[in-house]
Amino acid sequence: MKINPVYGKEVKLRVRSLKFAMTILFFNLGLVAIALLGFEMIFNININYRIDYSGAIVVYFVIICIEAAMVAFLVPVFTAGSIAGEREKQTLEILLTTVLKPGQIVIGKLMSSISMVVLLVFSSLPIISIIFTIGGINMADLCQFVIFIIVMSLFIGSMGVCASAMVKKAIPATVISFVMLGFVCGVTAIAILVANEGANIYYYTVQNSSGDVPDVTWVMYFLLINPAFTMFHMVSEQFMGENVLSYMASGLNGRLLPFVQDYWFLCSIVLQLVFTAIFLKLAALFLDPLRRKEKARKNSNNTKKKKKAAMALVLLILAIAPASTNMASASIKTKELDSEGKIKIGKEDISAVVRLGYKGKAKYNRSIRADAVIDNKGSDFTGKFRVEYDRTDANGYVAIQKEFAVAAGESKKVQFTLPAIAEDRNIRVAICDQDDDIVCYEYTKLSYKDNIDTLYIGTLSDSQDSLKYISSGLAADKTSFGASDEGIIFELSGDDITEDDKMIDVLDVIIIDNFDTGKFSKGQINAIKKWVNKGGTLFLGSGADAGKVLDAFSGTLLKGTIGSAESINTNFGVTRAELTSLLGENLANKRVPLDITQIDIKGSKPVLTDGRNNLVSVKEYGSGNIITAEFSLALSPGASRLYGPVIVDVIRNNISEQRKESLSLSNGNTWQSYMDVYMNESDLLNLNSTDSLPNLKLYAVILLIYVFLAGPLSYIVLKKKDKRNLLWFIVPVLSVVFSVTIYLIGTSTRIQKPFINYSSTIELSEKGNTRNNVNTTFSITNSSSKAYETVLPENTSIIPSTLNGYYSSLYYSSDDEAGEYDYGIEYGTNNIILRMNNLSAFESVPFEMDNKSSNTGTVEVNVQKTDDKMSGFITNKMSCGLEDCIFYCRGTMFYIESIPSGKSIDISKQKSFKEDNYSYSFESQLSAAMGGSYYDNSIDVSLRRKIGMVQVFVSNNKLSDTWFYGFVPGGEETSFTDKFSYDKYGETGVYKQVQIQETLSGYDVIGLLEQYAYQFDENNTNGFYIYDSSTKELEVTYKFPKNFTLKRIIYNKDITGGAEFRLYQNNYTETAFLGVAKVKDKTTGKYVKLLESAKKADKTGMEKYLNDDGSLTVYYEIDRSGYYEVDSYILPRVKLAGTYKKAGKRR
Amino acid sequence: MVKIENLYKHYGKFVALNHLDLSIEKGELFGFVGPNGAGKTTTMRIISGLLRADGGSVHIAGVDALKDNQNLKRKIGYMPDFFGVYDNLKAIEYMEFYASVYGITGEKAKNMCLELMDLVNLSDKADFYVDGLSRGMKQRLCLARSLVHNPELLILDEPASGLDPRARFEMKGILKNLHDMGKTIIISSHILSELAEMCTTIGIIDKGSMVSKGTVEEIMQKLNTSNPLKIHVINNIEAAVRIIKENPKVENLSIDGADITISFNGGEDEEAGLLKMLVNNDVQVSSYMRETGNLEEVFMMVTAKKEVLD
Repeated sequence: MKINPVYGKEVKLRVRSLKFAMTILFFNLGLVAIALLGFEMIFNININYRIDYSGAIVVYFVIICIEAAMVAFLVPVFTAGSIAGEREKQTLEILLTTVLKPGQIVIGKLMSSISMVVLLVFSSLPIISIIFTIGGINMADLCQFVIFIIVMSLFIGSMGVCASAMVKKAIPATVISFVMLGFVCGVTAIAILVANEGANIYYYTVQNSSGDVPDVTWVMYFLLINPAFTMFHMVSEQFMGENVLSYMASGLNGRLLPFVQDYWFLCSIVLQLVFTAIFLKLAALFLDPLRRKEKARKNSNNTKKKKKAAMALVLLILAIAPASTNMASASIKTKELDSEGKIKIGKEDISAVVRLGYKGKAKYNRSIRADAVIDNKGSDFTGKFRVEYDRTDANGYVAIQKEFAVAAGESKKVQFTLPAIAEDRNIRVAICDQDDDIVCYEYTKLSYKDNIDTLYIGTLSDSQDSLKYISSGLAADKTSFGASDEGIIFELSGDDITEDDKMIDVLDVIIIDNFDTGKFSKGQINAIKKWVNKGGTLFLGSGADAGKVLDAFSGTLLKGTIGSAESINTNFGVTRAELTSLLGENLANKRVPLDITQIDIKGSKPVLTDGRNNLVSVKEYGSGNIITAEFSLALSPGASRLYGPVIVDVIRNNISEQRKESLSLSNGNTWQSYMDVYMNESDLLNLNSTDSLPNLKLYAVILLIYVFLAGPLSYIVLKKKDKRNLLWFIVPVLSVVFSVTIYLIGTSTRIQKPFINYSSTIELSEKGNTRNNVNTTFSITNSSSKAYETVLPENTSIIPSTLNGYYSSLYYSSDDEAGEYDYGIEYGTNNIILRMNNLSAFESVPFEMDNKSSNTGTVEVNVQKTDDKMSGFITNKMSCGLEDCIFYCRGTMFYIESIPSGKSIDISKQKSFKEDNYSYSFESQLSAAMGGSYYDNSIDVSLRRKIGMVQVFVSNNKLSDTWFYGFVPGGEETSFTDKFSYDKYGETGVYKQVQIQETLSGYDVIGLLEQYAYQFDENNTNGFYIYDSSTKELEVTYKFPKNFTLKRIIYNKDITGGAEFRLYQNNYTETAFLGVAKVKDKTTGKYVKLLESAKKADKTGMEKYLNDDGSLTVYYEIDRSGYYEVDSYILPRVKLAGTYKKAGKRR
Repeated sequence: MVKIENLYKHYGKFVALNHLDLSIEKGELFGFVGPNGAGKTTTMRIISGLLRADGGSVHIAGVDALKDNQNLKRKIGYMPDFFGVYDNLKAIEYMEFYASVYGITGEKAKNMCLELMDLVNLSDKADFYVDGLSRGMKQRLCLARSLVHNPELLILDEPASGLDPRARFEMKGILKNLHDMGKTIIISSHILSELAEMCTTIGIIDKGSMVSKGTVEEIMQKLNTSNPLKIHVINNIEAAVRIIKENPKVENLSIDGADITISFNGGEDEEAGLLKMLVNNDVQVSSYMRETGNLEEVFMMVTAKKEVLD
């Protein structure tokens, strides 16, 4: 091959000086520093609390940006000086009298000017290759980058050469080439903004906001010659998997030609090369002395400019003309659901009525039912029912779809569960054909108008009308329970109880009365069971025909006996006084006739009794409650007018504690040490394994060897042999050799397939003789932005998870019809497919899965607290051992290293951690017990996950003051993991909330005062912390369990803790109660001092301070004398002792 | 070898070449003389293909120079009046670069370049950086450079300008050598005496047209008659002035002490006659001579003539 002489001379010249080697050395040393520092930061324990692999791609991104910037800045300088420089040096004329054609000179100049820059980029490949030790970017991506850099160098270089040939001096040539570069990079980008703004202005002014916003997508085509944008597009495709083009096009109210959209990079490269050729041709023309007109040139140039401007104008008009006639709309038009929560979609023979939620209502953090009844008026149709919703954690959207086949002339119901979707998200319901092409669709939104504490009550009855008093009762009587207390009744039909319990998740209470539950399938019963277990409250009415409702549940949910039916007269246990105040004198104390059946449910306790009959009983089941009434809730109109409010009250008061908390129905009863514990599963899922991280020291050594070898060493060696020209060859060869070496070494740590982070939890049941249910939240992360999918067996219960969705801000709504969803689930007829279409490398997406664990059994906690001493045993009755167990009881934490299967441990012999040693910080206490903090990067990831999981549990169960949490040892994985062939990192935790008996000198202890704070100024305190630093007086009313009578209080550092008054040096303390607490003596009406800060108090005879309803009001006077420096003022921690009223005995 | 007909070139309103005609035979060493701005460089640049002609024709060794640029360049070697060299190149590399331009590479190129450098007496400077060479050496190197493709015609624009006498001398020797080797050479200068010593033909250009062309002898002859005659007398100045004034061939006279300068329109015989008359009339003449050719004066004269003609 004949080398261009100009090029040959220049490269020979360039390689001659040591500057060449030094440039390579220092440029690459700089990049090595960036790469290694970046990696060090990603994997450094002190900076990030977690390993974020995508950080590696950020390093890659930074490096390639530096290189692109270098090309953008150096190439114009080099090329602009190339020809003008020869002119200045007066060497150009000689060159022109030789046989060299101007074109050859121009090409030679271009090549030699960009050769150094391209060589620098090439020499840095081994450094970029460090990304291969993590992955996320593959060889093809790197090659694409190299192609991009070369083409960009040629393109920018050709502009520089053209400028250089055009003017006589190098400096103006440089200025011109930067102006040209600024034009292609800046003006094309600004044009987008101007077009976007212009289209809007046009729409609002000329069009008067009618019709569609003008489509100005055509300006995007200018971006094809913008290397900066093409780089951005390339990176976003490689790294983010985002299709920036469709987002931009929709912002410009249209779409690009499909070919350009799909092959933007190719189009841009080709176009840049075409422009390169044009610029080179122009440069050659400028250079050709015979075509160059002396002096008169300026004039002719002006006419050229005029011609060009005219051409541009014509082009512009040509471009605008079709655009203005072809206005495609892309803005979303949402259609509201009707009052039943239904929306109709359809096209030709296929139509569907889609329902979302119950009556279109949904609640924060609750799953949503989606169903469609598809009507087929044409021939047999096989397709998919799809729901798409906006992601909460990023741009883009998630799709869930289910396959169906509906025969000609028939209709079919398809349903599945949507995860919690936050407010104002666009939801698209659609019918797709088998190839996933959308047949018909509609956009809609879900209503979140209800308050978070609104009760959703589903009623299932053959006589729904007779239950109407419940909803009117809920609406009328708001004051008795809480300010915004309200409830909504959904009248259900049998098939609203789905076999997937997630679909009824949004219901807080299900009332089944006068309904033949024998019609339920086994799956439906199971779903109800699961729903209760997770916190639902099931209210079963009976009456004369008790079996109609109860039979189906006996043996599964309920155990006990159903007695004989009888008719009674009852006042529902309401005293005359109560009734008078409620209904007025004339109606008071009226008894009504009622058909009852005596029901005796094991483990239940009566909550409504008229003295003779336990009319309503409650049994806890899992996290939920089962309420059974001995009568039918379908009361006679007279009875419901009188006693309806009583029934409503029973419903309200017996909603499961778990649900009360999640509905924010419980006030200030949180165990205060948990205050600062906020963690959710997404934090856990972000915690990546550190099992195999690249050995940075090794790579540092390799890279340094390379840099010195490619730089000064090979220069010196070749200089001795006087073959420095070989550097042009040797540097790239070394570069490739070292890149491949790093690639190969990196294989050991490179993440090459998706991996899973999971946290599985098992809520242990009381008895636990069946296989445990496991709830698993997991995330799948892929190492690249390429689409992938995984197939699961058909019977898997899995939905996408919207972790933390409630708090996330609203992202830009995608409105691209043709675009692909980011990820989603397809419920097929034989399998379930998880599809990841459009995700960044190392972007993880969360799912939630329920399944049965391979292990059975439970943990029995048989522990008492007597006079502040813990005693008793915890027995592992599970089929597997447990490790890293925590038993927590009212501020005291026990760490139990392991409990083998079938073994018991004596709690009094376990290592305990008292909360006051950790200033009421649960996290510190947990860190001490488990040996590290979740945020501590230096400890084992598996342990950190465990710590995090306990914190998640506490975050979600802040009412629970006593519980057990343990972990299934790593080897014994849950059955969830069998379904994936990916690498899996996670833990399986088991937990159980426990009630223990605490006694103090013969009294029952119900915990601490703070747990029962009921009425207080919410702006100033939460019942424990005092927010306002100037408050001096504070009044808190405490409400105790209904059948508990407070008799004695104990304020004693040794018993209740004491961290609230622990002084450090200089009279500093973190938390302190300073001042006195007073109560009002009922008999004398005087205020009596109950206790004083830092002084032990033990007061009996508390009854005389109680209010009429058994509650206690305490008046605090806070000492603000300023003698101490206190971080936060708190109220005293006081133990409550008293007696439980014995439950009314039956008959 | 070179045939220029009716060559026309203007820069805006300024006419650089006004229908110039010139022909040079093969083997001639043509001296191209003219003041700055006369059109020498323009002509040479057009011949070399560096400049567009606005009219006329140029044929070099049978090649239409205005149309067949590529073939033209194989025929000519051009050395501009001002030129630069590439820094950081050694003299031999400098040569080799231009050899490579003509597709000559490797050992062949090296040998040829060394030969050429020997020709211009630079063989001992082959490994010197161009930067470090003296102006004269650079000039010679450039000359050698213009020979790499063995051109039939050498076009040298003011090759001697700015050179010290020794360098000029050397350059002259080289050019003579080249001429002896059979090259046709066009060389421009404003010092006629320099050209006179070596050129076979001389052409004088002014304001874009050839004023005069011929062999050195012819030109010199023409020149001398128009040159002033300088006479230095020791005594009897009055007599001398009288005698001179009486001579019909004398057109002009100026006296500066004992120096008398006259325009004498006669040939050598009449010059001798005038001297004889002076001596016979007892005027002691210590110096009696024609001023030798000074181009500036020639052109001043030519210009003056033209103005008269105009």
